[in-house]
Amino acid sequence: MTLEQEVLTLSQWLFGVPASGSTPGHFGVLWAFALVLVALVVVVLFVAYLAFAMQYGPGEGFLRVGRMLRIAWTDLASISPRRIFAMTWLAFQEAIRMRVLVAFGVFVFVMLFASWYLDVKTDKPAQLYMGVVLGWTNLLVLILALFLSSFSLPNDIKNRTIYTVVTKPVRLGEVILGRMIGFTLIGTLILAIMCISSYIFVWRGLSHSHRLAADNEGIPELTEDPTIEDEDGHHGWSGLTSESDYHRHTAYINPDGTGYTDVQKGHRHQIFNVNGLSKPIADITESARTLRRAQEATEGDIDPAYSRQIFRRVIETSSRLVGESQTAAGRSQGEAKQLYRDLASTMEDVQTAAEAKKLDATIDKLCQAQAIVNDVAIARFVIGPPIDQLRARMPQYGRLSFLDRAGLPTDKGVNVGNEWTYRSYIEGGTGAAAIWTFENITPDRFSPDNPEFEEGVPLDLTLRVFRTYKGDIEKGILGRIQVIEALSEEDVKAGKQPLVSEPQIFYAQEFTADRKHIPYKIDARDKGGAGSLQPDLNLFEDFAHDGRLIVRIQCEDRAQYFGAAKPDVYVWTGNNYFFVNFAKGYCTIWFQMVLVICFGVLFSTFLSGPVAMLATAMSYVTGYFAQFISDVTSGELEGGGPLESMIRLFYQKNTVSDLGEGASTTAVYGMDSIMLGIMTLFSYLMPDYGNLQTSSFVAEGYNIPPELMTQHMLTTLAYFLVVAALGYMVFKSREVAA
Amino acid sequence: MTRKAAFIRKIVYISIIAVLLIPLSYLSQPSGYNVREYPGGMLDRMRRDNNLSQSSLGEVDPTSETMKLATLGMRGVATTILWQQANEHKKKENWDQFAAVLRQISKLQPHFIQVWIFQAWNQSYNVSVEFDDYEYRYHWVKKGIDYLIEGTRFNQNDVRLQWQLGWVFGHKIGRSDERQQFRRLFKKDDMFHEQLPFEDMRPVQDFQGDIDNWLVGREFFLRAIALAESPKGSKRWGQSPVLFFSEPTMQSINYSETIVEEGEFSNYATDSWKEAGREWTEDYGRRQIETSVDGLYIQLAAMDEREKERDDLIEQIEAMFPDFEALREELRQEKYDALTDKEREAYDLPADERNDEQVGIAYSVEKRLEVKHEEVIERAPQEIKDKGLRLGVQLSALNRRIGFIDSYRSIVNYQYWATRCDAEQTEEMINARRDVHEAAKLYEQAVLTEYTDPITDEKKPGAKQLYESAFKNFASVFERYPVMLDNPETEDLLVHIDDYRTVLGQLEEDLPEDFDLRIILEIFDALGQRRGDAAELAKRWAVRREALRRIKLEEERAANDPTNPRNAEVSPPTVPGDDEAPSDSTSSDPRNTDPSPPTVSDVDQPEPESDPRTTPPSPPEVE
Repeated sequence: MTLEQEVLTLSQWLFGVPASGSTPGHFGVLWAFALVLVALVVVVLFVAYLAFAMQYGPGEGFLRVGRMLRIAWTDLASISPRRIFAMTWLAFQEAIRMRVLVAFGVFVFVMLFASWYLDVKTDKPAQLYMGVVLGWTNLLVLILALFLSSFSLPNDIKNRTIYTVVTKPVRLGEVILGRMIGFTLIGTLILAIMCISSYIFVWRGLSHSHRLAADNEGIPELTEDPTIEDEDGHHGWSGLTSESDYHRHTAYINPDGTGYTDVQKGHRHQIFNVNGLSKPIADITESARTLRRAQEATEGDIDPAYSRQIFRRVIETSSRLVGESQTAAGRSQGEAKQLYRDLASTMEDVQTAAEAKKLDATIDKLCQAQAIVNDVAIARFVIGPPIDQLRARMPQYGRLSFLDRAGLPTDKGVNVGNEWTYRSYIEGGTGAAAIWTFENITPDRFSPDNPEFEEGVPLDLTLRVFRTYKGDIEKGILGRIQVIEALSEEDVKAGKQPLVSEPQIFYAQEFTADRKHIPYKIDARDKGGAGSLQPDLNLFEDFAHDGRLIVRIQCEDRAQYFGAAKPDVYVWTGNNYFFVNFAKGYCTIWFQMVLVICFGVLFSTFLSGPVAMLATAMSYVTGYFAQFISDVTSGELEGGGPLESMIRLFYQKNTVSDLGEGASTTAVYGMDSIMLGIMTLFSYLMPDYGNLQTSSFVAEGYNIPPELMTQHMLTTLAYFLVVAALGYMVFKSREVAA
Repeated sequence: MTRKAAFIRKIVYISIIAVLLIPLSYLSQPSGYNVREYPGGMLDRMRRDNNLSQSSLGEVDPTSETMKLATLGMRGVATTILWQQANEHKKKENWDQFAAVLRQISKLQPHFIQVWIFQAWNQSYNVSVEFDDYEYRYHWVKKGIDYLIEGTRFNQNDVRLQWQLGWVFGHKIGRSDERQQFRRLFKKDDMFHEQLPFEDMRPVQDFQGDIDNWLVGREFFLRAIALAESPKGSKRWGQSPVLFFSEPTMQSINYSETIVEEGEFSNYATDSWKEAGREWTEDYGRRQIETSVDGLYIQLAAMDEREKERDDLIEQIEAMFPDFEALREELRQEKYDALTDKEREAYDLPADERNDEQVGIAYSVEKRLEVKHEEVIERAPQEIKDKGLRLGVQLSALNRRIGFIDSYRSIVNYQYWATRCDAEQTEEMINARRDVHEAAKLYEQAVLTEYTDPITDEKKPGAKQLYESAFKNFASVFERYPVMLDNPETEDLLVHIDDYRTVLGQLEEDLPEDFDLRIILEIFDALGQRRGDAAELAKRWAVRREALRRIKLEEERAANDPTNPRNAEVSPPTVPGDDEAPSDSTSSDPRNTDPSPPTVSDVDQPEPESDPRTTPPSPPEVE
């Protein structure tokens, strides 16, 4: 999947990462939080002092601020969970009275008709379904939170019902907390219901079934496939499935009767054998088909010698098949004998009819015989439900570095002219390479005893290909994977050359996670790949020292290119339960809801209902488009600030045409820079809602990284605490003013 | 304000509303079940006349309607945002999201034809090539086609969408780099065939019963034409009529060309070319095609007839005058006398002595000195002037028509395709194509010279022999139809000539001097670029081939002539490859006895005015 923003580890996120090379650094969230908190405290104290000083004089102002802090401390210290619970319950009841369940009704309505709007022919239906349910839930829940939180307190104040609360021995902080928690609770309840119903919607929408495409006689149209071969040299079969949900698969059945379909629309199916037999085509069926074809070709006139030859083969094989099936299908000896007798008598009829040159009768009888054999000797298959459609792969990403065409380290690869610079390209047939370094690849995590890892350490590739000439269009572009020994710093200093494994050659496949395995036993050469061959080296002991696995990928075809970004190659560590991931996706919606409720309650402490709602909506928009605002401010996005863009719209000027010089233009630029400054400041203060979106992980079938969840949770908690404190102070100041 | 005043005001308002309702009801009255008897109000009639009502445009889609309503009149804004999103998805290679957004856009504005065309093109042509795997590429070509088919459901009467479908089916599947793979996948794609909106599939099946993309394209073009000719079809075709009507036949031609390219040389191929030729010269050539001049229609195949009419008319005009030529010369002299000194000087100079400026002047003077029949008629005596003027007007109109036919024919390369259809049916051409096809296969298998078939034990020609046989046939066809040389298809032969040269190289032989297709090598330079006017080169080539033929005849005659003293001493020249080894003596070859052998280039330069058929260059000799 595409990850334009790197997922940092918790410590990196909290304490920051210094910039290195072309990678920008990250300022620790903890420091940023502390700075903002200190600034906020200073600003609040300063504003409070100013207000008091203006009313009571400069000296008294200090005292009043001190008193205020003391009261705040007392309020904080004497917060009672019982009272908070009472307030919460009140808010909960109020929310129910405000018919918040209407939101759920709307959601159900949307789900009922959503399938109308979905592109039924999409290549990745799971992504589409997930995008729809997560998107709609997000929207509805946020609107609900917005209305609920911004209108509650102002309405209470307006209707004076707030007095029924504040006259009770309840502290203002508890009122604020009660509202926040109460609304969060009702939101959580609705979100949980939405989560379950969306899951059912997605599951039902995506479930479908196929059967093997069959001919008029009901025999699956499978053909022997020499590309499927077991150890004894027996061949398997392949054929098409029936069409369902605008697609069909190719079914591949192994000689032992088990099988899978190919991947279509992001899923495949397992094929189950239902009668314990492994052969999908009986010889007798083939014989009957041959005879029929011969009859059709000669317009009914077949050489009796030819038909006799076929019948003889039929009789021989049918008795053998019935015998085989008896054991395989667990039939009793009596049943098998009876079947055989039926078959033999039918076959006699066949022969009589054939010898009398009654071809129609021959074919009819042969069909009867065939039906008997079909029942007892031909394997029956059913195709299971879609698999790999709803999954949550758990990737472990590594560090990516590049070598240029001379094989020397470089910051990034080549740009092949794409506007989107997410991927860098390496040239084929040269020294250019993309090198991924994965940490913590240890034998206890990846053991051949684990069935999932028995072939080796799984590596998923989603490389891109760029051709500078057409080449052989039916073949992909060749690439090579090599494992390089992870040398310690001392070894490097000592000039030791690493072991390099013999290349694993592959055809690059785009837009799919192409699974490769790094085997546990590797043939390699020393001296950086130029030395002698050393067979059967151990992956963990000889290469991945300290769990550090270095994988080098190169393009083999000269003048063709591979495109790579860091997440394009990862070590697959297993799958998480899909529902858990789905629920995690809903958790991030929950985080957003909590934040909106916090800001709604905060603004409602000093603004009227509609204004508080607008302010909350604006805070969401500012947070969501923080990156956009930052890009406009820095000039990375052309078109200018609010005023300038409005003027451009009005005069129909494009984003880069000159506005001309003059006092009015200067004034516009000046006002824009002030507005952009304010917007930027606000965008820094508001939560980055854009970053809180995790639906792409769920939709694309990747586990939401636990680090990301923790970061989101901590962000929400921090905002919750700060906004609650601010709300309390503002509410308090209103009470004081009143 | 009294209650009475308020009451009166209300009455006035109600009256105004009632009065306004009368014209409104007249304008917007709906039509009855029987539209003829109850045609409805003006709005309804206008909507019907202009094909604007939903049901007359195409299917009414409930989802599309709900989405339009849900945007609360902000449809334009929503579409713009979605368009932006689509661009972003395309940039970031989110192809599935991209396709999903395109669906939403089309639901919001289902009758915006250019959106369907543009985005279908985007999918079939731009997105498809982003994939490395040709099967994915094919999948996205299909997605674009699907999008267009959906567009036709919403806009049943739009000619452009049908035309576009014909184009993508034909050209994207049949002409792209991956055409072999695309055609193979398309033939097998039953699920896709089921979506084709044809009730009868026979016209789109090839000679083996498989669905062929060119024939499918042809059907869509025919649908576009049928719509264009029906009153309910849209008036905008997106093409000039001369191109618009040519496409179905071009698809038939492309189909014939493709099946031959894929190795079909039986009667199916010749029949197919025959049918394509018939369509070209009869269905298309005889179709009345609207020109850029209002009301002027032409038939491309009627060139000869119109020219004949013109000649008759000119004959009539000239017959009216006692001495037409003298009068024409007189007029010319008058025009010449009216020239300025500078113009006269430039015109009188021999062409090769004129400078750049004089070349231009001389050209314009030449045009001005031309005396048209109409000008002569102006000088006619009064008694014949009226009739003359009438004929003059007819002549002008005919000239104009012929001019249009000529220029429109050149737009579609009419003469070339007519000739091509004829040429492709000839035995020589079929043999040439078969041989070159087989030769290419043998070349791949490195069977360069004659070999013995292991099964039949027969001697069979190798790549070299097959190439030579093919080139001989090609040369013969080109000689009969020189117009065939003046077309890009000739370039395809370059590849085979290159392969042939490689074969010769491997056999350590040089390209023979009398190589049959030397003309091709002269038309194209080493980089495959055309070097000059193929028609002119073709003329020269014909002269040279004639010359070579004469040499051969001379040689043969000389060799067989018992009176020739040389024959008494040596045996006749042998054909290389015969059992008998060629004689060591070079004197047996009359070519080697010539003391001063002129080069081929000598025969390359015939007099420009000379007719190669009557005045072969002398003396025909080669090195």
